[in-house]
Amino acid sequence: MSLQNRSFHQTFRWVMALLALTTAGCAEKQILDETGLVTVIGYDQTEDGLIRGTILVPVINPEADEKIQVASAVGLTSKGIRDKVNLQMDKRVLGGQLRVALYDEKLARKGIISIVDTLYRDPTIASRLYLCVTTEETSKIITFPYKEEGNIGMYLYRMIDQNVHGEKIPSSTIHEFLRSYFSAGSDPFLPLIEPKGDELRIKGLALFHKDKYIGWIDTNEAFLIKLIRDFFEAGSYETSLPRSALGLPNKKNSARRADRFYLVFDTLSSQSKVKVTRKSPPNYEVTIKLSARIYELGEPISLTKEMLAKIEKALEADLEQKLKNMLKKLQKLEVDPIGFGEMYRASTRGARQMKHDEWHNLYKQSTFQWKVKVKLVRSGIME
Amino acid sequence: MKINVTPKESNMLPTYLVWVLICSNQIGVGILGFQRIIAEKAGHDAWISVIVAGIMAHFTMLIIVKTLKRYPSADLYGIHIDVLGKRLGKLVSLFFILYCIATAMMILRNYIEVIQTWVFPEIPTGLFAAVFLFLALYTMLGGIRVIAGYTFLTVIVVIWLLLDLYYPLQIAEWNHLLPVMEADISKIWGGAMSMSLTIIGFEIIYVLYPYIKEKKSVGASAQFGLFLTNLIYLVLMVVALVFFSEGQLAKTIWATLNLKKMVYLPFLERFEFVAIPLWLFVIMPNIMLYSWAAVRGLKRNFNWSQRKFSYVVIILMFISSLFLITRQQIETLNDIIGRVGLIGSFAYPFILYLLVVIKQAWRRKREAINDESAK
Repeated sequence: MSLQNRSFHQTFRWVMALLALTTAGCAEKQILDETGLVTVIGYDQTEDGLIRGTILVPVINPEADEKIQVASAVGLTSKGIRDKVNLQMDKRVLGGQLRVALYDEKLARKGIISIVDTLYRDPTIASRLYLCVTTEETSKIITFPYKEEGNIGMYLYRMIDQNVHGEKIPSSTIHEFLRSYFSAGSDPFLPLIEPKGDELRIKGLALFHKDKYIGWIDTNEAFLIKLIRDFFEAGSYETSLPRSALGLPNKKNSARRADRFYLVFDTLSSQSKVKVTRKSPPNYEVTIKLSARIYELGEPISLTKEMLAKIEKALEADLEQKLKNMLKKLQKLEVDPIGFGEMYRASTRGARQMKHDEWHNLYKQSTFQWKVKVKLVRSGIME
Repeated sequence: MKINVTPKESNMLPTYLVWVLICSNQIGVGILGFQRIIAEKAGHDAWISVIVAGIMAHFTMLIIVKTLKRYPSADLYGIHIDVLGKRLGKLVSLFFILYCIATAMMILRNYIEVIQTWVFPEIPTGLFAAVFLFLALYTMLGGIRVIAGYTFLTVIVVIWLLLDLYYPLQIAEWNHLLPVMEADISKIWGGAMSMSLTIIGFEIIYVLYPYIKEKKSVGASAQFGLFLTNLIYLVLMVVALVFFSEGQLAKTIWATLNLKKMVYLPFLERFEFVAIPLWLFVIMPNIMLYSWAAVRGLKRNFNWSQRKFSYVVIILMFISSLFLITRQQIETLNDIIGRVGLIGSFAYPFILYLLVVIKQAWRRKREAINDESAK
């Protein structure tokens, strides 16, 4: 009896093990040759209020001249567009390798949350996807025959990634976009891309109010935003200082202003501290400590101790003025990319339920005190 | 039915395995998405709720071990018979058995839901359930030592997954945690209550106890297991709070998996697709231990072979898993088990301890009277 029992159990185990192995074949196969892996997707607003989606798929076919395949379709929802795009493709379109999503300026002005949300909701799409706003129609940007870049998707991705890691612009992945969107005390921002000749370039930072594109700031100002928001290490900044502050005589030069002295500095490390010193209307005390080295001087001057001190002083005044101007601009545009609302909420008990428009009412009235401390630690290998 | 169980020496477990078993029976699918539920109640102070729930669990464990130590080598089923009598004891034990089966099923179905949402949307629930339950059955037939060995292995296989938190922390906003203690006590308490579904699992000690070699140090080992679980939960809660904004977290069903989405390695771009299959290692001990506990209970109470009951329980779980199809149904089951677990794992041990104390005092008194009259 026991022997018989054992053999039954053994058979049972074998059958189950076999079953478990064969179920592996039940999953939907995704053979690389039969799939089109989208690297970049662009969304445009068409004239009749619909959305045009354009995708780019790299082609691995030695016989083809073009290394990429582009398709576009018009629809109301992004998934509907994908279905239509599929009708034009010889391969099944999949989003697992999507690196960059572009939004046309016109579309971005109307609000993009629903198309962003659908990308975030899809588990096959990475959280590190970069979102961008473009000044031209994205279909033009994607279909443009770039000679040097080939796969424009990877090119765009590397361009943004390089600049984010090079501390030029603040990071703007889909996760960070939605994090700011869902938080009452801050607004999202994305890089603004413009075509320039045969290339693309980052023009600046597109600023949003909720999910609506409002305006943009240039990369120098984007650097300032980074200076307030993040701790960071490297990142160079070009500026000019009044010659009088440095005790230099005016100098005639065709391209430059006579009363300014030009230099580029490179931040080695920076630290910012924001203190909310008054609650209503909010008053912020922003202290930024910056240690930098001089990267380039507009003209040869000898960097004595006194001169360095003068440059430090002048730089501090210069940065404070620029921060002031930028914040006025941000307040006027009613955008809060730095997240002062978050800082307000974090320092105020009972502000948890603050709504987005309530914060913006306060934001308009907010005042700021800036304190910048620059320390020039090095000046290259020359004195 | 005997109150005390004395398994063979060769079938027993070393005491140091207790913390492994407690810890891995607590950590299951709840960990993948508990942050949202707690933060819904307690906001950015949710981490305090996690600590509160953890302390409650430690305290409950203290009472459970105290209850068990009043017997030489009894399990929950034996204690029920001793305290409540044969009929009522069996009835209450049956409730516990059903709870174990339902919890195992809940864990299984939730994990399948994760796979279906993230990786294989087309594959039917039944197929996954069949494969996973077969694995569970295989170890259950091997006995508790096989289950314990497997559990120990899984801890080693998955513990390094915690290290990937480095990636989401790169873009953390620590501001999100301020101001501390903004939520009032009732909200924090509410959050701690919602932890129940995630934190339950330590009650397995009720059934494991007779199998442990050194009964003296069970308490310390079990408390250490609990502490480890609580620490992991606390870390994951804090990371989720600083990584997501509050409104975003409220919409994220599986926050822990979303944290894994940030991991990016040059040779491995989408880490979550590695983590999800690996998670099978985390949930299998849950299913095994809970079904094993149920089978033990059935065997002890209804005197049939453990092997046959194993088949019955597994088939029962398989069939019932087929009836849960939509996300709403799963949420409802989670909700029910969360509530039952709150009562069963947190409140009931105190009641049981009280009953045991009263019963033993009463018995001692009666024996004293009997002795007296015998003289």
